Amino acid sequence: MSIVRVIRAGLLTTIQDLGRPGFRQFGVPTGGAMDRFSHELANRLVGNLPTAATLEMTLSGDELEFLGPTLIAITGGEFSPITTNMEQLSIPQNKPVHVSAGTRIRFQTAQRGCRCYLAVAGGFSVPEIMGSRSTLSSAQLGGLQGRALKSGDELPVGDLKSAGPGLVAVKEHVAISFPAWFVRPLALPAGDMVTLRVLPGEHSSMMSAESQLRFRDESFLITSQSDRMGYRLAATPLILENTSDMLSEGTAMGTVQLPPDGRPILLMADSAPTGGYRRIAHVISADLPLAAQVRPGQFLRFLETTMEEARSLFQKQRANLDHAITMAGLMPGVRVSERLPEPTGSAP
Amino acid sequence: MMPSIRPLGDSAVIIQWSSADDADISRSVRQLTDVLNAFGPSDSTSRFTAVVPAYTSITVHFCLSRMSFQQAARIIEQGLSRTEDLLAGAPALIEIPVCFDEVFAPDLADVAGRHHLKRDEVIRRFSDAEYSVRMLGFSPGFPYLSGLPTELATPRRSSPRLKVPRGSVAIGGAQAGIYSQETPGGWHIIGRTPLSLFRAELARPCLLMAGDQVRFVPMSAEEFQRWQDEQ
Repeated sequence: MSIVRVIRAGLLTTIQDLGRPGFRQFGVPTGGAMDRFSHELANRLVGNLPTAATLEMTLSGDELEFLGPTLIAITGGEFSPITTNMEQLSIPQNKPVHVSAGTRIRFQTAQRGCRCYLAVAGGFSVPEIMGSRSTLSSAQLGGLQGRALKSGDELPVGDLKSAGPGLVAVKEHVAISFPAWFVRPLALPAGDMVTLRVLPGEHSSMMSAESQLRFRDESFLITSQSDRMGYRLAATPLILENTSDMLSEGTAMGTVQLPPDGRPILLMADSAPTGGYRRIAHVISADLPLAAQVRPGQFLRFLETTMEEARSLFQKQRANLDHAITMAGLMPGVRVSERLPEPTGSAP
Repeated sequence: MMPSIRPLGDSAVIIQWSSADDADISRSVRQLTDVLNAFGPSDSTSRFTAVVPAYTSITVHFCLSRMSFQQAARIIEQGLSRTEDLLAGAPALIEIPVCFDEVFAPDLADVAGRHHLKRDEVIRRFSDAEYSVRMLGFSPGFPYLSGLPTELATPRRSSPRLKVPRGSVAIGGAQAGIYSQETPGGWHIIGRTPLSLFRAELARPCLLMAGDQVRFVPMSAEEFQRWQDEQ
């Protein structure tokens, strides 16, 4: 078993996987990686199953030391990772990278995007709680003692044999090495205005006609009160014509709720399974990875789409991921198993 | 009574009942939840990733690359037709010991004063009632309970406490609840149970499930202490 040591902790780095969907009925949020596309891509690049645990860094990354030789992959937001115990080498993203024992890598401030994912071959092997290794900070469970990483933490890495047949021989004599090819990553936000496609929520018609138009046409600031549970958005308050109380009902990641103060909340990975606010829209699954890469201070716009398009966009995204991984398997430098079995509850 | 079946985003479905009879809805929610949960791994084509019962609805989450909304709705309709032959077993009755001692009940005097009742009378009425777990939510394992005697209904505190101790038994409006973890909270705290409502390490992490019946049994501070020492 190998170890990754945290030399200096970043702003908010947690261990994440695909979460605990089956425990929503107990009041437990699904949780897991905010950007599931980049999480899965990182895992696939090192030969892990999509369910293996990765590190999710937020806005400003950690400095890590790899105590044993291993294979890593970095995806998602651009954190300009560099080596710090040797000549400052840039570590490329979206490809597998061999690192030798003792390599230190510093992840810097995000240049683009909000969250980056680090996968190591074998996955981070903290204990599973309710079928998942993901950190749920609100309930202080999962991950490493239910909390974000601290300087000095030592993260256990799983047995390579249990990780699947992805890893090639690690080159002991080279500090870091990587192939020339890379896979197509998630398209990160290009500017400060990000459009997310939505399906209408059940209560959207409870807004005034004018507010319904504004929801479609205006942009919404992502406020600093935004985290893994949800993003509080700011704009001229939207007006609900029906302000009667409602009983709590199910919600989902991507649900846009409208509390009585008229400021929408976009629910994200750690949101509670149920809520008592009106649901005015739902961000489609294919756009949730992008939603995970916007940051406070940027703006969201909502563009209505159809159920059919939502499904076809999601399938296209899955196909791109599969294609990227198939390509990776054909390229020299790393060997990826023919077709990895799917985890329960995920895509075929 | 047929519920409505509508999409909740692109990968979830919400099933909603409307009826004047609360007990009727509660039973329907419980029955369909049981049926949908029973679609097990052997029946993977009709498997959902999550089935979440609430007061008058069930939200079902599915994997978008495995099924469409239409397919999910069809499976739910099949489930509904099966509930009709399902014999509704009596729900489990679970007794929750509660210490109403002042140290554990910062709002008991206030609740009593508001309703012009003596403390003991609030405790008696609260403990004589039988409650039904309508849903788990707010925090892992927190049960929302219906069945609070109407004369004990108390609007939420105007400013929530930042920390409510784990195990606190509370009244919020017409509902009762038990804080399963130390969290912020705005309900009136009238007692505390030494039982753990949520234990993440267990296969069945919650003491209570939607549909269970609950009764509160008063215990003394000494009994509370002994109980905690034993755990």
